[in-house]
Amino acid sequence: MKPIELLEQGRFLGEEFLLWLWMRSQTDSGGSGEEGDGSACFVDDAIQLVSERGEVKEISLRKGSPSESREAFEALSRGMRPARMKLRILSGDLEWVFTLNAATLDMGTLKLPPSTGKAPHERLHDRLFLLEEGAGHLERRLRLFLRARSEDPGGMEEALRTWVRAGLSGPGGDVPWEA
Amino acid sequence: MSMLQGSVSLKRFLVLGPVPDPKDLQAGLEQDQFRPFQDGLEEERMGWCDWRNPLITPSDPDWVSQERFAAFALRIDTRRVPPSLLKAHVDLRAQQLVKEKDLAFLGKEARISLQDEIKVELLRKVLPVPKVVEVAWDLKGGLLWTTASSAKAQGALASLFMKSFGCEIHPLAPLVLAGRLCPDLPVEALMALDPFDLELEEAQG
Repeated sequence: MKPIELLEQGRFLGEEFLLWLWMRSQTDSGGSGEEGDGSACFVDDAIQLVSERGEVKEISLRKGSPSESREAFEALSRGMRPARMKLRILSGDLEWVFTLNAATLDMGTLKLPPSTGKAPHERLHDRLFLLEEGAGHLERRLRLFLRARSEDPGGMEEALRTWVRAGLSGPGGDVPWEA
Repeated sequence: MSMLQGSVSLKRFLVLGPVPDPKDLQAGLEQDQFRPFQDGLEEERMGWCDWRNPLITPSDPDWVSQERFAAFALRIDTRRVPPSLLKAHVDLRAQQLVKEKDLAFLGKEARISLQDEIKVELLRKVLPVPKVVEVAWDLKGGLLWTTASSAKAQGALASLFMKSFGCEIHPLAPLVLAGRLCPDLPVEALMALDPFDLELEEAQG
């Protein structure tokens, strides 16, 4: 299969991975679900949602708390799916902020934790290490997502639907992550 | 944007093919090193350069090897003559020729030849615009990290990578990454999954 076909065939998995990260950032304090992993992944202040159907094909929600907004959940309940999402990963005192593309899983405008290296090669080693660390946090989550997605697709779909339904009731409503 | 400082947009590729030894790696980098424009109508040039500075060619082998990574950069230079400026020059020179040689008009072929001649002259005066794409090749992990963000730069990187090192690179998209992270989950089974339908009935009302 050609790379472009693989990209298109896997787009839905990328979108659902973003959705799953979004749900976990609210229902499980952004944890990966892996034992001993203290990192957390949160949705930051930008989400782009897309749909092939309906009159509105794309919505960009920025600034404030778009991941908790009624607009976002209304869009999800109409079948829109995340195409890009700004994420913040925290592990100890290290922080990675980047925009994750659902189709390609590229990390855009990635801000890395500060590097201590002064010489160019020290800086490069530091930054490569931090890049791998950040990607590792994401891949750990992707691995867990893929397992759950293939082992119990019905359970995950139901959990996501429940989360979307609860999100529609808005702040102050009966939302599980505020219980 | 740079791998060395500030924020960075990254793309990862899976590298398929035999990993070259340091000698072959350096040979590939030297064979297709960046070479500046010469006279002619060429508007784009590309080649490998050192990751520290795009003016250093070929890449210094002592700096290419960075622990398990090979670090280098792809330099893509473009030079263009603005079409409106080219047309203005051609019009003026064509008028002069018609007058000097007492012609009724300048034929199509003569005009094309004149345009090429003027374009070569103008291209000599144009400073190229360089674009530098950084590359960190994880030789053990079989992954390539790059700052190539546009489809054009990624295409250029893939074709030169194949030419220099005989390795194909494939974007690390969800299904490719899934195959790497969960080798026991067949990609075909993942592809056969039905996408979730999260549309709620109450939202349709």
